[in-house]
Amino acid sequence: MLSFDGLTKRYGDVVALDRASFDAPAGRIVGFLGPNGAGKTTAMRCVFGLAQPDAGTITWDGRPVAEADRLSFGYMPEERGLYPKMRLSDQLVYFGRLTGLTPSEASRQADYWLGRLGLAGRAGSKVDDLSHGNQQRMQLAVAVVGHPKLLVLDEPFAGLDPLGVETMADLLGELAGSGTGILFSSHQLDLVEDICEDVVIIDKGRVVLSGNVEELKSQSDHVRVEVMVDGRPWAPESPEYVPASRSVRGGNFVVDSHITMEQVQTEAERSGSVTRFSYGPPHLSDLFRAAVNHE
Amino acid sequence: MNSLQTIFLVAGRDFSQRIRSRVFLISMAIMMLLILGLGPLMASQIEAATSAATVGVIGQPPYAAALSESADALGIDIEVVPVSSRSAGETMLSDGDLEVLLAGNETIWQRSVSPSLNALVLTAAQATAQQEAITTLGLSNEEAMSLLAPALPKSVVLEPPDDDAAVREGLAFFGVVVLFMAVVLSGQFVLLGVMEEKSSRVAEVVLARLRPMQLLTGKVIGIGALGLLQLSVLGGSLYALTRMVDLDAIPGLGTWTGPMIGSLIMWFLLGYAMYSVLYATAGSLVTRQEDVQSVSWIPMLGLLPGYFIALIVSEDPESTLATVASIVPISAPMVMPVRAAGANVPGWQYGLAVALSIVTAYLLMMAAGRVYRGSMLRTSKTKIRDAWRAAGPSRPQ
Repeated sequence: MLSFDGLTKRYGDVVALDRASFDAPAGRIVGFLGPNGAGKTTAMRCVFGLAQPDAGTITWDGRPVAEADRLSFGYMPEERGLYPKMRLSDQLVYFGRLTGLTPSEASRQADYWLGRLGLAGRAGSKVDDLSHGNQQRMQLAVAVVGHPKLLVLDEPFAGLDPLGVETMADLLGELAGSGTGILFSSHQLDLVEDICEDVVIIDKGRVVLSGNVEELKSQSDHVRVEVMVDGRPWAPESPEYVPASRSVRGGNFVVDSHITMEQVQTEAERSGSVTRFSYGPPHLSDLFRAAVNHE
Repeated sequence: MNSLQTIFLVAGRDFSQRIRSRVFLISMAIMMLLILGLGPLMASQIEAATSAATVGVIGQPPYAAALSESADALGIDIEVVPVSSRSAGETMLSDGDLEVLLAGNETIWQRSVSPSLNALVLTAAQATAQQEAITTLGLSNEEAMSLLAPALPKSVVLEPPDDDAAVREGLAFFGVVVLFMAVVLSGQFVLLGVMEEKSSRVAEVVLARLRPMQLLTGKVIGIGALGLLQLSVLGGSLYALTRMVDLDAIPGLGTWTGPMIGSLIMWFLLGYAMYSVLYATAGSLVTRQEDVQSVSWIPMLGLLPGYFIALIVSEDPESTLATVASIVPISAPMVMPVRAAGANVPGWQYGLAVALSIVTAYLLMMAAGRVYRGSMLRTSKTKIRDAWRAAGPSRPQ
């Protein structure tokens, strides 16, 4: 398990991380969420020693992360980077060997991952000659070669088409199933909700919410409501019934749980005939908005 | 995997990626062919310059018999060919089959008189005339000897010239040009290689797995090995070239080419060790090809003065400048081979120069490594001072 404990990092006057603490357990997929500039990338870079925290520790299975541990971690940085003029197979073998694989094992794994990610036909191509989507797949291959115990992926889904997203999501599920701990950042909240068991939400360097997605939803003091009045989406007008983090698009909105559904329904009936009324736990995006707008 | 294995893995990547590049292979092939192609050309030139001169003789001029004897005495290689008539001889002259035609008391040349051959004919004629006079006068052997070989003053040279010096200095001069170019070329490879890693952002992926110093050292070793291979192949071609030509024709060439190539390779390694890390630092500061010029001055600041001093020293290897510049580390790799070729360098000075170069290379590696560490993960052009501060002295390498 990877644990962040009280991680703090400042760049001049800017606080990138403020006593951030959370875990990424083995075999779990953890979504790492937060607005731009919240400190996600800084936290991920600290895992690999690419940024040095001013305070706090990062431990792996209870011990501070050592150089040898990092060889068993896979990393996909936000700014993608590969050797532009190196052939894919050579490149994967090289990165595999950097993780400590023998030449024959590195070569075997390179073939496997190129095939697994649909790049087998491009093994002899240079990265420069690949499409954006294929470069992204190759970047993931570099992160997973050597079967890492921990995968840290910064925005792995950014720029992928729906099929690419599916391939990547399947692969992450498979790796987690085989025991790899996965920490990935994303702004695609629906996607995170679909594939993650756990989330960590960070804002201004501080962890504002973390835990199991389903548990967080059930513990939430918000209710997501969808109301149609006279066949059209409806949203309450009175501000006292609606918390600040409301979403009104398509008749969906969120209310504090102390407001009863009867109250909402009475309010809606004043506008006309209610043709649809449903409610349930909030979505991850609702939790995110509530957590990030809290302060 | 230990640190050394990691470094050699990095070195292996840089070496194998570059040695397979078409530009590298083609440029090496062209340079080798150029050097080896020079061989037959030089051999034929030397052959022409040293082959026997053909002397045509009509009838039996009285001095003809003395020609070969005089040629031996003067160290000129000649071949005497009987010619039937003057017109036949003139045809042979215009065809280039004869250098000179001896007809009665005339020596006939095609365009100009060859001073050495002319002296030879005159000496032979003179000796023959003297012999005739001695016989006519009925002089005894002693009288003849005192007449022909009077006791002339004997020349004594206090500082006899070193026959090989010119060749050694020439080789050293040529060698320092090659050495300078080899260091600059390999250095540029390092600079561009580092810049590529920074601008393509692959540095972030690589440095997540290894330390900056391992990446830097591996790159320097990999590209250095390539430079060494390049220099060895060119040096080998050069050596093969000297074996192709008549070695006796240029005294010292056979003796000195080998040691000179060895010395150049050693100083290349020392020079490269010092300057490559500066090139790496320069490369780590920029991300665009257009900015390369703005950082190339960093290594050139030391390389260029050293190169020019070496050229000056090749003229005067005994000077104080030569002594100082051949020991000061920044110029030693280029100046020492030139000085050692032209002057007697005390062993301790040579050893000191080598030791200082090694120490300097190490110190530069530490300092340049810190700038490299501080700038590699920045995504834009970086100032040296900012990179130095960013890396911090206490940061693990």
